[in-house]
Amino acid sequence: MTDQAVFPPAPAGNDPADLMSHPLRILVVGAEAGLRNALERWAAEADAEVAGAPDLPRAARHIAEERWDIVLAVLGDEADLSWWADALRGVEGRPHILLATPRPSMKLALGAKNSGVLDLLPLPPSRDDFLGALESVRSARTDGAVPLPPAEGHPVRPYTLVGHSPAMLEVYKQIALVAQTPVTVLIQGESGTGKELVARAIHSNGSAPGGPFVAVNCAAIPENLLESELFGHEKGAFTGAVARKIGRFQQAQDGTILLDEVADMSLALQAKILRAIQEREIERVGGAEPIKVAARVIAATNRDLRAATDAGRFRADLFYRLAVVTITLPPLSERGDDLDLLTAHFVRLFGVRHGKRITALSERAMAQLRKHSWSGNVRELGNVIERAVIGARDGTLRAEDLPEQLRREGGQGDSDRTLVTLAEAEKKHISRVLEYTRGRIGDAAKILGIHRNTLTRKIRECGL
Amino acid sequence: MNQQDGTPPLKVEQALRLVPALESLAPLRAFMVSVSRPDQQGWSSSAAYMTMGKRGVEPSALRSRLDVLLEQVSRQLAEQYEAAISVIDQCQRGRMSQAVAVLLEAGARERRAGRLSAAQAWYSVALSIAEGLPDRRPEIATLLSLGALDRHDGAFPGAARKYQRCLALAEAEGDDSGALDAVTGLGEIAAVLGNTAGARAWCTRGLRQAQAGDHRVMMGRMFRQFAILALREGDLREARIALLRARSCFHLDEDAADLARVLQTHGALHEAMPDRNAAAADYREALMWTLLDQSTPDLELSIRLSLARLHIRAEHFLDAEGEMRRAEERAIEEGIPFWLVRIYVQMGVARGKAHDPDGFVFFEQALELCRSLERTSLLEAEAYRAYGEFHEALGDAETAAACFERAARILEPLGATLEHAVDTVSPIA
Repeated sequence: MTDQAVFPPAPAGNDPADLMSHPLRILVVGAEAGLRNALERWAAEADAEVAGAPDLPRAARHIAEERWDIVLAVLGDEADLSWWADALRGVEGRPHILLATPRPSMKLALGAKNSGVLDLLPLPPSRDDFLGALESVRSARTDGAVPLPPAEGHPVRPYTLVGHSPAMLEVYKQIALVAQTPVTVLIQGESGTGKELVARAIHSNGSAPGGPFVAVNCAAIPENLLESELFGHEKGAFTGAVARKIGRFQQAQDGTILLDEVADMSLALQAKILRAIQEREIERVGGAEPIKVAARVIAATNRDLRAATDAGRFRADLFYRLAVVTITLPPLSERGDDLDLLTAHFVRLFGVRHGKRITALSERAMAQLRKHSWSGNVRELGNVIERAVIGARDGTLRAEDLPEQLRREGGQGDSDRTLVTLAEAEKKHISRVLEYTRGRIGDAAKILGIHRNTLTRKIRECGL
Repeated sequence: MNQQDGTPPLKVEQALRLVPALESLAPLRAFMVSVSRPDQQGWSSSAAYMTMGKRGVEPSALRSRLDVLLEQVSRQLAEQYEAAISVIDQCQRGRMSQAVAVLLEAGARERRAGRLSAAQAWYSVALSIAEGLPDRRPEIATLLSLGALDRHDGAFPGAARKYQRCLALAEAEGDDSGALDAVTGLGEIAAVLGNTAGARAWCTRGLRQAQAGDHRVMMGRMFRQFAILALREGDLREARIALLRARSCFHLDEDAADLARVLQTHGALHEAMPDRNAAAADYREALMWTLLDQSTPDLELSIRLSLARLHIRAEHFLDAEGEMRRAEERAIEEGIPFWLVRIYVQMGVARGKAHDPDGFVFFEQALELCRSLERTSLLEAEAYRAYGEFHEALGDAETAAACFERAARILEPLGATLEHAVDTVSPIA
């Protein structure tokens, strides 16, 4: 083992058989010679190859230039794990990270978990721990591949509406019901469920599909600019008004305007929106003449707009104007087999975008996708699949191509089925809460409903 | 979310409007940004457009860390007062050179904190003392500091005059180090003004001086400057040779920041070849070297933006977004809003490349920041230029032209043109 260029080039990775048979490639970073020799010996027993890098900068180059299955990093006491995330960002064929440290602390353990580390080992690691980690990586490679199912959807340019679960069938019926009428529609649903897509579907199936579709994300635009963005402004109306601007309402003339994340608007602007909907005319910022606009208005939100109305944060008259018809989109977790179809759709979409021909999904990858809770719904699924496609090594998208968080959930799912003692359950729960509060003991104690001194004692007792 | 009543936190943009524009409250405004959190957005469609102004500020977080802020303010005031008293003391004892040194150190502290007008004030007093001394070294040091400040602001003729005077004094005094710094400054100014021949001449002179004095690190820096010039002229072979020479001048264990700069320039060379994977490897290794020299957040952020630009060119927008978000987080942690402007401009460029009209929010945030910072004319001009290109790509020729015109108007009194501005803020410059 040397510190510099070490191996013949890694397998090109187009043939799945090659991928299965090639030895695991492990990059060991920052290890003393004695430890490296031991790791090399153990790796040879497990048909794996070990190379070394003396420090993170030179490891970063090896990681960027070659494919590795595992990177084992020896850390000091004050290691900042975010730098490892930096070293791995955008790297193709994402390697698993193993950390070895002389004093594994709770902070490091939490950081490791958040950074997608495969395992945190004591320094020096034992032969069994090391070989166990290799085995878990190797076994992930050997699961069967299932061809991607066909996933034809309904084109809603520039997107595609995919899914035929009963929950989505209801949505399609509502789209059909409102599309041909000019009524204002409020689309509600969790983040990432596809509210803009449904708005586009209403527009493209409506009476003026050739008209413009203009989407405005009300939460993204700085508050002081939202009015000028919606209604336009005259040149010089305010600092930064370098030219006359046509607002989004006017851009949507004879078409549809989507007011996305509409709950995030100030009350003052809500009054102006109400006027635009009621009077069908707007006024540019700094302008004197009212301008007639004829655009269908669709609003969308991930908040409970009625609750915001009750709390006085949203105008009741505007709420009733917007919610003439309300369509509520189901979260991905309630869409059953749509997950498989959407996965197949995204794999193909991103495969084309990134020049990868992926035709199958491994069983383990599918199981892990099904196990994930998808709080970010279809948007999160799309992100996960795009990253996985970029990192995929052959024609099958595998569990090891998925983000470490999903891979870890897969592992946790198995262990969750094992019955544990009360003390073990308590330890696990405290650890989860501390992870949630990013290690803040005071906040964790509040959530757990115990005094912070009690929590501190329990942390000590549990060895967290 | 407020734990008592569940109301969402105010956004930074809202909170900043509630704090009067008093100088004494400036640290609080900066503090509000540094303790703000980008949470509550999750996977919402606006999360991708999150800017500093949209982060949440919890009054409880401000209150709980108020003592830290007050301690910082008090320390800063104490340092300023101590410096002023020390200058009086040194002058009373006739130790004028030491007085200048104290003034320069106080100015440098202000400059590191981004308070450039304050830095200028300290340096100006230093110059008034140094000009009357028989020993010219304090004046050399002061002129170098003032020249760097002018260059930062795009006042190139003023910066060049200071470096010229500095060079003349340094050569007369036999101050090799001062002469080398002056030559480096003059070479950089010539380069950003597009005077490649002049820049080469200054680099050659600097290299000769460095070799004569056996200044290993300065030789490496000069070779890197040659590489940058060759890259600008499209001579990749010469750039590669110069970079190899530069690299051989630096030691891994002593010159991490210089090594990182060489690797960053090497990444730019590989991008020009074009070899994306090799460029990515260069940038990543460069970034990791900055880990060993944490005194250089500017360099770290510059390399992160190089990496992000590489991802944008390859249309790997998720990776670009990841890199830029990390840079944003670091700039906020380090309290360097100057870099946030560049980061948001690049985020806007990425959105423009993806034909996303909502990318305008990043340019608006960048320009808003420029207006709140000191001496950012060049940066503001660059932001308007990029904003113009964004509008142009989206087919809004009228607004694009207005942005270009605005950029040119900002630069006119500085004696610079748009191309100079671009070069100046370029990460390899």
